[in-house]
Amino acid sequence: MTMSRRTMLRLSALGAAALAAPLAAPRLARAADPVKVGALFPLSGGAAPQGQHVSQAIEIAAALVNEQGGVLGRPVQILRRDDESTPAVGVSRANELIGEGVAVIIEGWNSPVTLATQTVIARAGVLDITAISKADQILTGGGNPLAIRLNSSNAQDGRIIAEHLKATGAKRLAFLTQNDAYGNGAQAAIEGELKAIGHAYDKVAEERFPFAQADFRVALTNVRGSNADAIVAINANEGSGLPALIRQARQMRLRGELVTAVGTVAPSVIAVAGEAANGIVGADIYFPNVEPFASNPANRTFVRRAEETIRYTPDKFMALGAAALQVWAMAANELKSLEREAIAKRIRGGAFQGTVLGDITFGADGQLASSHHLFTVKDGRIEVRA
Amino acid sequence: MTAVLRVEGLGVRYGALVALDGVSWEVAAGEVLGIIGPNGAGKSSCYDAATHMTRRTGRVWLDGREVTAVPPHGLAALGLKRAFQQNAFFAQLSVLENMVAVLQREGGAGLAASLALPWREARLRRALRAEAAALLEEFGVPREMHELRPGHIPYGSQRMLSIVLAWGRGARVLMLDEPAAGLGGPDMARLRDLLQRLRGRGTGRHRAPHGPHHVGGRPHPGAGAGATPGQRHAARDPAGCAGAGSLSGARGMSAPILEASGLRVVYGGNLALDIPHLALRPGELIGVVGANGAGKSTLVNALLGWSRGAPRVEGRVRLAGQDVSALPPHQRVRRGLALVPEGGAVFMRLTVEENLAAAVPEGGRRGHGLEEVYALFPRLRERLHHLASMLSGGERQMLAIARALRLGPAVLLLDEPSIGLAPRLVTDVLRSVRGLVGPGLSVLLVEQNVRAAIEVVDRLVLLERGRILAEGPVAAMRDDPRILHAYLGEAVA
Amino acid sequence: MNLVQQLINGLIIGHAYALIAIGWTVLLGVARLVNFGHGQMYMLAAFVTWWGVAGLGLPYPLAILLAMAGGVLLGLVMQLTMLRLTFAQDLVSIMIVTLGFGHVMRGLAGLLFGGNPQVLETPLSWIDFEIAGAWVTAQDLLIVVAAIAVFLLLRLVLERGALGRTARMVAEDPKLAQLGGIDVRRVYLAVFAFEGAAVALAAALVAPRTPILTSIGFEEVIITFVVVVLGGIGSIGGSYLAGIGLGLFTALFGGFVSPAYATSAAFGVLILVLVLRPGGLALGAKGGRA
Repeated sequence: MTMSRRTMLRLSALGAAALAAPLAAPRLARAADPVKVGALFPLSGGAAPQGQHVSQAIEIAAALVNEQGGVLGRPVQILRRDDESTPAVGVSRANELIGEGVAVIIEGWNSPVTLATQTVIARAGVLDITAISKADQILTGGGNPLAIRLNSSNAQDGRIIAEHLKATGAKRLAFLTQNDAYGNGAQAAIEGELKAIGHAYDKVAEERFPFAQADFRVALTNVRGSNADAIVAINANEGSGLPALIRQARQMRLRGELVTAVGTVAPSVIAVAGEAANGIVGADIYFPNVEPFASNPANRTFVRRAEETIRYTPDKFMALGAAALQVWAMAANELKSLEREAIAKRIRGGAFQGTVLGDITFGADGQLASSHHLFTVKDGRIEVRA
Repeated sequence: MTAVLRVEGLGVRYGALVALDGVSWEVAAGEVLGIIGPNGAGKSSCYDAATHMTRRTGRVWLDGREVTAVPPHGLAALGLKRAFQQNAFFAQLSVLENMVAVLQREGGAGLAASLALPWREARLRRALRAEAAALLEEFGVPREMHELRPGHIPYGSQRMLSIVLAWGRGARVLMLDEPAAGLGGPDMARLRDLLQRLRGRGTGRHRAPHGPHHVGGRPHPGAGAGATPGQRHAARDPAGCAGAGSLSGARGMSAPILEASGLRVVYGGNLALDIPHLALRPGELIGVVGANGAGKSTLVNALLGWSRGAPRVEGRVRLAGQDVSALPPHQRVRRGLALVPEGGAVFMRLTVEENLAAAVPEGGRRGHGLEEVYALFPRLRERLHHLASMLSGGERQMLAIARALRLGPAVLLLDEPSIGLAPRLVTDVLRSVRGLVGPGLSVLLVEQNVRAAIEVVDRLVLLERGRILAEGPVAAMRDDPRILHAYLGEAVA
Repeated sequence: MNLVQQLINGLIIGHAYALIAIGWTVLLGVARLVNFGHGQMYMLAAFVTWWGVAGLGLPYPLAILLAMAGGVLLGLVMQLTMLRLTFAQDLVSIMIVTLGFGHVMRGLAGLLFGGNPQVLETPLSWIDFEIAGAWVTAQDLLIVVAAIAVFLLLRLVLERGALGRTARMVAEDPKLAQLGGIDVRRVYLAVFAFEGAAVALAAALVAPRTPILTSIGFEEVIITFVVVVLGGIGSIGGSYLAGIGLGLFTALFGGFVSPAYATSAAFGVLILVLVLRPGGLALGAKGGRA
């Protein structure tokens, strides 16, 4: 079939116009186009329940933000991805999210995964907010020069544990430490703070274990033999590892107070550990129904919405995830921009009012400032000490 | 004449069993040395010892240089090559690729050079393929077979292939272990020519044959210490030496105990067997003969619905009047149809005792008791607690037949029982089988060794290229020129 | 004093390992087959036992039988699907097919039982007593007793008598076994059914020791693989010793060096043993016969 040159030219012009149209049309014409936000957490494996909860919290926060008009007039859409608590997988999923054109990635449960992904995300020029991972290198390592971290640092956590140990007069200390960046960093922080506040102690046992371990009897045998006054357990495997450790410690009749690292004991841990959890000591930076959080309207809305939609009272991790989203949305709406550097500079060293955590400030290095509270587990519930 | 290969004081022990004790011999350039002896005398052990494939005492010299400590692959590099009693090749490669692999080993490009200079590698490969093809043709493996897998070429050609693979580019000494085993007339002639040609090339050669009269050479009786001197594998013949053609019990017009109709077997696209009808009557002993590749093994395998490969089998098989075509092999066995397949049908990792004990008849059949079996094959009683892997080829054959008899079959299919047996033993075994045939046991015997088969069978069936060429009572068939022609080949011995 | 307690720990862990590996020992020894869905079968059986106790309210022994029945069923289904591959002794395809089954099982378990960790509570876990300063539960003792009982039974059945002969014949040459009148198909099905039952029993007894998740199973396959290879293919006694050895090593190394590197060290030892003795420990099956 032949066609005249004219028809050919007309068709070509139409074709070219059709192809160019989306590129030429101004962004404003598509205001209903959602802003994509990546949520990268473990959705399977030992930390799956917690990772799921955090992702849900971010979604709840996003829903609340959308009810107030969204970000830059556009709805926020959360894209969940599973990092399987494995650095290589996390990097791969992060690349997927970057490919989807997310404006920001809220990530981080396991520190090794965060350390791996932050470099990749930074190099792609996407904003990266670390919600839960704790290792110090996240801020100091240089992988992400514009790092933002919500969860308390190992140094901050170490202080309150050290103060508690000094208050109870525990001299013989045993450490059960997760063998990775987080665990080793946490233990170093605690020991550093003990020295800083001038409390003399004997490290009578030190057992390291891999994150996925669920049978601690061998290590606990050593700890028992050391006859410690206090046993410091640094185990972020809230799904199965930490509850197993608690149960087995009780079963083996371990003497001495069981002190858990800050932020590791969530209600889900107590549920699996059962009666064995009674009597353990911990500390945290957020409790849904305790002052000053109980009377914070933003928190109350958040807690209520969570109990309605997922029938679960939020824990600290969920609050951090929600706060991460809130802070980002506030900054973006204030600056009227999604640009990474601008928002990061606004958050780092900045202050925000009315988040689920209350009025908060960030240090110049990107670390959220938080206040710690000690608690004991009684009758299967967390009881915050005055 | 200076010796090319000399061995002195070879000794081999397998645990408490002394297989070889103080054996010494030598072979000169251009000479053919034959090593003969009855089963279990230690011939293969002798080769194993000479090529250092087993722990042994004694010393070995090659071309005047002592090579006692050299490992087997080192000996091969020095020119001492050996072909085995069983065929040895890479089943997954084609015939030509097998040959190329051997030649490449002997002087192709190394790995580094292959990676760095791919074009040189390609040129070398082409040259190698041409050389390989020429060698194969010279050794009697025709061009049509070069692209086939070794398992699919006739047995005689497989034998030739094994020999040429061992030969490689050449050897100072070529040791052949029972090269004529399983070869028929035309193949035997080819082998004879080949050996004469190789002899002309000035290499020393050994053979461990059962028939030293086939090829010219100097025989050296194998002096193994395994068998107590004087004792031979005299399988007693309880029923007396029944000559061929004698009838035992009521036969003749009774209904066939085993009947095959329309039996066709397709192997990889080739029609390997096409038998419109074959019947075995109760108390009868039928011999199925034919050259290699005629389809004899295919026939007995198809009767049982069994195979080591995966052929397509069509047709009906009836056992004692019942159609068993749809039954899997083990069910046919339970109904009374037993097969002793070609080339070793015993479990190497079980002892003789266990092999025999495991063969229990089912379905109310009464199998041969252990005492009867020992009477037939006394050697088995001596080796009762030995692992089957430690028996000689002939002893394993006896064990295989014993196992089959223990199953109490009504029909026994024997596939080339004479392979690996000394001629005298072949006669004994076949006579024993003849003696067992009666109203309770009928036998279908596939045999290369027509001469021996003719002595004991009632009827003869001649196969060629998967079809029945001729069949009839042995008295009529034995002088049929078609047998001589089709089976023994053009040059009638 | 610590040493004795770690030894006790090691013995318990070792018997658990041996029990978990017993299915593979028979599978490899008799049928020359592998099953890379082994770990997921363990996980499924653990969850079925948990569901039987927590969901259906069955007494513990009944729940164990339920899990074993499920294991037999699973084993039969897997082998029926793979029969042609088994006959062809196509080991690579069998590896991949069983691995695939494992993934399917994991997904199914996730759907049926969710992603939350569960604790398999049994009455025996609550009975404990002190032995030489170590606290041992009745559940632990049950594991030890059961492991020894199963191994003895297998040794009796498989290494003497008709069943053992049949097993070795099928292992060596299934085609030839057919000619001996053996229904090889039935043997393969029986072997896989045993594997299912054995791994289910192991799960029902050992899983109460730690919380279970639908994502577990990988470590169990690794342990099983090490035990069976170390013990020598097809050797019942060897597997038992390898299991105990691995358990003792885990406890002693973990106790006196560090639990963090116990697995790596165990593999190091495995490599060393195999270099020195390629056949593994290989006791029993082919003892010295004259």
